[in-house]
Amino acid sequence: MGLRTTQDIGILLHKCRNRINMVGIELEGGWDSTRPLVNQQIIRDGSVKFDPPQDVIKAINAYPPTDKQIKLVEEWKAKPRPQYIGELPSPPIKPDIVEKWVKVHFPNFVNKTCGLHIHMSFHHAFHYMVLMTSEYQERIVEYLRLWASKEDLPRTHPLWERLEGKSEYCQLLYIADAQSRLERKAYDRNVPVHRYTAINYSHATHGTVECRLLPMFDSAEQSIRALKEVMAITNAFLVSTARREEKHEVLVKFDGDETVEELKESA
Amino acid sequence: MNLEMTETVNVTKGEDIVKLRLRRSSRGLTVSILKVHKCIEEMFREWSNGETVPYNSHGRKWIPSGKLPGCYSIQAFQDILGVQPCKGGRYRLDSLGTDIYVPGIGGEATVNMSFLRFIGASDGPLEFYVKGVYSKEAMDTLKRVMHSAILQLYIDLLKPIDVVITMSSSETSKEL
Repeated sequence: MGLRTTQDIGILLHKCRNRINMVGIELEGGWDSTRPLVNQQIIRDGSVKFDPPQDVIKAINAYPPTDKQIKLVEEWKAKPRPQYIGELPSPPIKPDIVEKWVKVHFPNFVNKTCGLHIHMSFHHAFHYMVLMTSEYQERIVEYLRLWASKEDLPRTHPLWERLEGKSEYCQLLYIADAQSRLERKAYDRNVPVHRYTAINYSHATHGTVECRLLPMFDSAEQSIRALKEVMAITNAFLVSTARREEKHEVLVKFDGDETVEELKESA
Repeated sequence: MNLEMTETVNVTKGEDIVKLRLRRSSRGLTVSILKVHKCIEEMFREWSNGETVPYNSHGRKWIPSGKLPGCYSIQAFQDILGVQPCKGGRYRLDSLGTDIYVPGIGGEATVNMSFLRFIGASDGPLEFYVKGVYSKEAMDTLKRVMHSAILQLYIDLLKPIDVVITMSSSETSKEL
């Protein structure tokens, strides 16, 4: 039995039993000094940037600056800015704890450079292997598009760009088998096998499937809805593709030297 | 090295050389070795010169379903055995306990056939599972490359070769 239709997955969304064991959430953004416990756990992330807007940069570099430019720079300096910038990873948590964890740790500052990643582990390796198909990534993209429309996200929202494969941090590539064997977290995006894909099969490093498609949303509530949607699509995909695993047999018979010779020629 | 040859084991037409069953399972990839022809085990036994090594001597990815025996050492042949080409991929015999599939990155996949070195492989079924995850495409490739690897192994290492060397005196030298 092959993959069921898109409609089937739609019917199963948010309606089937959870098959995800643990999840890990990565929140990217900026935090202020009022969050002392959070500050200790933030990991530096070069992709997260809170640079001043272009007109402010221009004003900073202007010589001599105009009165308008001086005012612009002063206004920008007066604005609250994050004290800690980077990525805050959760410990492995049960899926039903996600909401609470995100609410407590949601950053004070987010922008379009910030990603919201979810790692998912499973009770059985077989569930993981069922997700090792390009169809899974396609379904995630498809159903997040539908979700984004329901949420009425404006066309300028960074999620759309990511869903169209325009972000170098979540490329729409499928390299599951090679990716799942990477034993170190590497940061090079220009090698044949890397982790910067929409779905990253980080099995050797974390034992998880990571969805890197989501950006940080303006509110914790919307971010939680997005994370729940990814988990729901994953569960629906697992149910819709459930089937008995086939056995693969390798049988080599000796058919006489002629057969072997044929092989030798083509080898 | 003991150069004394043991009993020659012939393969007859229609006989199974190797029969394996591979299945993705909740623990990883289950490998069932259903049949290994006596000629393969005899070859490894000769090569080993009586030395054996644990099945997990290079890695810890092979987990026995029951009890697994040790393996024949191929230490003496380490320099000439490595990754060998076969139709549609590559194979190796020198990596006990490691992943049995290395996907081809811009090239062809490599399969690890070191499990053929189990002591007593020709006596009966053996089973273990390999920790790791495998896509459906990986399973198809694994099956295909393993098949051609076994055939290639037969050609490279087991097939009898008759070499007839004829020496004759040269007419030219006589004239000289």
